Amino acid sequence: MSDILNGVRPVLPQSFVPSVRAFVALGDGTPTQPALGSATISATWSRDALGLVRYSGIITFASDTTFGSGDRLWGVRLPWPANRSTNGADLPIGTAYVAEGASDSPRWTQLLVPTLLDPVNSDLTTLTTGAYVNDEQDRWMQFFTAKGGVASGTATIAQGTSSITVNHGLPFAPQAYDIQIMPTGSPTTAPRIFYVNGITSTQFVVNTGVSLTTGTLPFSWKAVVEPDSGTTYSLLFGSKKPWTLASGHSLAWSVVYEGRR
Amino acid sequence: MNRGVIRSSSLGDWQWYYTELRTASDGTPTQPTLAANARRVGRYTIDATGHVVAQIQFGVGANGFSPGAGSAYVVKLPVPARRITGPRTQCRIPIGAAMTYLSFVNAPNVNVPVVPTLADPFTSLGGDEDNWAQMICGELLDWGTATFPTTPANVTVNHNLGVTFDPADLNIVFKGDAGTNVKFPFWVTSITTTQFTVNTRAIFSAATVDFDWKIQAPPQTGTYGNLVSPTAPWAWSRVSGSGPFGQFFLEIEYDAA
Repeated sequence: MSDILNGVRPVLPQSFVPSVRAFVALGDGTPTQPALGSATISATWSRDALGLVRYSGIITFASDTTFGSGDRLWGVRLPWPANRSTNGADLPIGTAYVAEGASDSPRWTQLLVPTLLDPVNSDLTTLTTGAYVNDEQDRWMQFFTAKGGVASGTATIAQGTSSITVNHGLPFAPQAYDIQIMPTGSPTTAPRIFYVNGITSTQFVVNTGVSLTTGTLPFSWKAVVEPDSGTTYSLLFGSKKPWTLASGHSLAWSVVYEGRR
Repeated sequence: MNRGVIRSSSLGDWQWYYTELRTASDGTPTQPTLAANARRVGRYTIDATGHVVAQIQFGVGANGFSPGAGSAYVVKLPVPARRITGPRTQCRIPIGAAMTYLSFVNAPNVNVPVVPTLADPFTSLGGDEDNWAQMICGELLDWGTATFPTTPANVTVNHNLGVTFDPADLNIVFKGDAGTNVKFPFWVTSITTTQFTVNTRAIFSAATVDFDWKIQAPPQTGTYGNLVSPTAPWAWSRVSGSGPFGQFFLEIEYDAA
């Protein structure tokens, strides 16, 4: 790179193969990193004479993609390090979205807000053979989610019972008010009341006030939940936020930032 | 758009300025108060053509915040904007990207992307609207937990949405049962700008029962119904010194007047 008068050497549009990396909070241990495998990746970047980097791309995960675990957020590699602001770290730098695959029903799609990566330095030390690189965060971007998790499904309280445990698949225990339940049938036995308890990071329990002596009670449920509290980086996109990523899902972005001189 | 993290380029050097967060209305709004050491970031560049790129951030709550009252929050621009719809008119054309969130403590965290535009010509701005930006939001949120007594068979809940919402915008999830009375179906009545009432067919009688509630409503009627304000997308009175903390982030660009 070189300064030319008041500008920098332009870079014509060219392809780039971004990597994806799992990050955690300070003292949070070491996440298992994702491996894109044969994911379909299309990305391009350029830099104009002002030093502005334009970077857009899409990653569609494949059947051999592994998504890792233990992450608080995912970062996507920038093609050129950013000239970071010393303030306002979470300033938006473009637009992005994450979408489920064409075969998913429903096909959840959520807008994301890309920003430069938070300075998760402790986890970046391992990126360069253990050497601490204090500007490594300038080489990654992260994504803010509007919702911390989305999931839906159907279940049935069986005859002779008064509850059913639902595996929700959300990234954390939801608040009860984010769970919507709509009965789709009526048992002969009046259920007296319908309520939810036993909410954990993997399940919730739907109950009736009395056992259904005759008939069953089928219902649909949906959980569109606000980001979790009490966990660092809860607002940021990751392998399980806003849902558990899988083959066929896509992450796409278009951002503009000033590259480092 | 979204010049991101420009420090200094041929667009011009960054200049810091003292931005402000204010309330605006066609009456007399009550201004918010930010702690002297609240996070307040305002900087901009302006090129030879008069094109302005600005980055604005307010972080409120950690050191005290009073949200004020009014139809909208407006943020101070570094230099006045050219209003392409004409002077003293609404100009709700997007000028960048922005988001607001509550975070760090207290369930839940919430984040709502919003769209910045030049401020409407609020009366309270006194013709100075070209120096201010506002934010458009697509949803209103409020939430909480309440308790059904053993009797009677209804309970009134206070909310902070500031508008009368549609019953379909309310989700209620009971978290337990008590007594042998048949309580369902339950229903909602008496929705006002500050309260709603939940009714059941019969009393719980044996013990109190908690329920969670959440309102997720579209913006309400009125010229300023879809603007970020002291009660939108949520009641900013939720912000406190012990958390949650609130944030406004704006990355905007526009032509100077």
